[in-house]
Amino acid sequence: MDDIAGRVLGHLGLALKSDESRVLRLLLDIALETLPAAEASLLVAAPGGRELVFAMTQGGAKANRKLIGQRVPLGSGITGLAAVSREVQAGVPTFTPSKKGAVKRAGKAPSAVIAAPMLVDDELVGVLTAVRFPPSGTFQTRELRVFGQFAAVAAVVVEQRRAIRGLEVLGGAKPLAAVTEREAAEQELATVVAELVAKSGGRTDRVVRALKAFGQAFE
Amino acid sequence: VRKPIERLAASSFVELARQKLSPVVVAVLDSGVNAKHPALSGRVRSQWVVEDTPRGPRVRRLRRLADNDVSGHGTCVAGMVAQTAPNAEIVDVRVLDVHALGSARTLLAGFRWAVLHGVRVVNLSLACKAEYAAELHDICEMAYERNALVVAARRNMPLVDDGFPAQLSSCVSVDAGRFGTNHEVAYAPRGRIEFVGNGVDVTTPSAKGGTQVCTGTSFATPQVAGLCALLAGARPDLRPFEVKTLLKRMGRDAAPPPK
Repeated sequence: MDDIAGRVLGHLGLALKSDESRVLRLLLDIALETLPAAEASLLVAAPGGRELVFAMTQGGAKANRKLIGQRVPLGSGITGLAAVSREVQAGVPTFTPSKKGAVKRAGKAPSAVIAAPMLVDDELVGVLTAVRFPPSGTFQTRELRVFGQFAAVAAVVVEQRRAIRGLEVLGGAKPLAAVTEREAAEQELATVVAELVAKSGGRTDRVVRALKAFGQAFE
Repeated sequence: VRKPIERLAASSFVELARQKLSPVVVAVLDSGVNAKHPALSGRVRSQWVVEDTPRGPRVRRLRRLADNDVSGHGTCVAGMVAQTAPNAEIVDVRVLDVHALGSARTLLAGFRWAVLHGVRVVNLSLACKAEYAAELHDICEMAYERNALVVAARRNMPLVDDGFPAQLSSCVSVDAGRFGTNHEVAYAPRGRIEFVGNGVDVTTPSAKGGTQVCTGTSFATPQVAGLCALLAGARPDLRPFEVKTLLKRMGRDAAPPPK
């Protein structure tokens, strides 16, 4: 499974065990805490731009790791719609009669789905999704905006990796010193998280809790 | 002598929707519409596709009513218009290609085409970047001069801006709220977005058949477009600013945004 995840993340220019991949995973965790939601995933836009591929899943059962590598056509379902419209989308998932049976046999069907595009300039690089299960309700407008901000932060992580790669290429084969890279990453992250707190709309307690969890995970 | 705009024969949108109103053409610029969906039966007047060709965008009419939706979004949007305004006649203008990908070029061409072809209400459940603001402004001004109402969605994720053309004052700009009914609207006294429509957990027709529950400004916008169609159906002579005035008058005040 790690091989597949590594290959998919490679489309973003990220290595599976890199700091950036860890930050993306932590972002999914914080998003789960903040919304709250039961499971969250990161899908990467496949080369060619017609499909999304599951690259990471957080929360939920281990069985969810089976999603890694699965493909979602652009425009299909709420996740595909977020990719096409380049807007956060939310709703109640609908299943065809054949899939409905399979979902029922597998256990609980999600009661709500939310999906937010990750955009670097105009380019769609991926989509973040999260789901809730009954008895949790659907996602509200404020949650759409908060989740959209997480996707924007995730896109910054990818953008930053690309910028560093560009600088490495400019400077020849010699990579930047690791400490400089880390400092830059931390600075960027601090800025975007501060913005997140500022925009949390009176629910800063959750963001603070989530940030503490973020800090503990780093330790 | 023109009757004052206050003299509508209804005090609420529910009342208005029950009356016999003039038909109003509402253009839905989106991913296309499944005209075969039972909820849209008899409601789609015509279907068009804006194609990006080497010579520039071309607007082509579909010969017969079909499932023209390439992503499922447009059918939900058109469904909201149809649910809200019984007098709305939908003109489906697909601005995405068969791979559900679109460009600002095709959108601008479709928008201009709709305004030039006498559409009364244009629904834009989408938001463009500021770099297209000047071109969108010109089309919105043209719409205003031709008495066409442009109803445009605020971004669901307003990180940089609220989205264009929603930010332009010649539009009826819409945010999403929860009302539980399609016949209510709220006026936002502050900010660039003037109205809040019903866009949380709304049940709309699904392009694949049946219905689905959606949330977002994409769905609040056609609800408000539907209310505009009701008003324009009751008083076809209303100017865009008069429609806005009536939306404010017949709506409630939006709750202030959380601090």
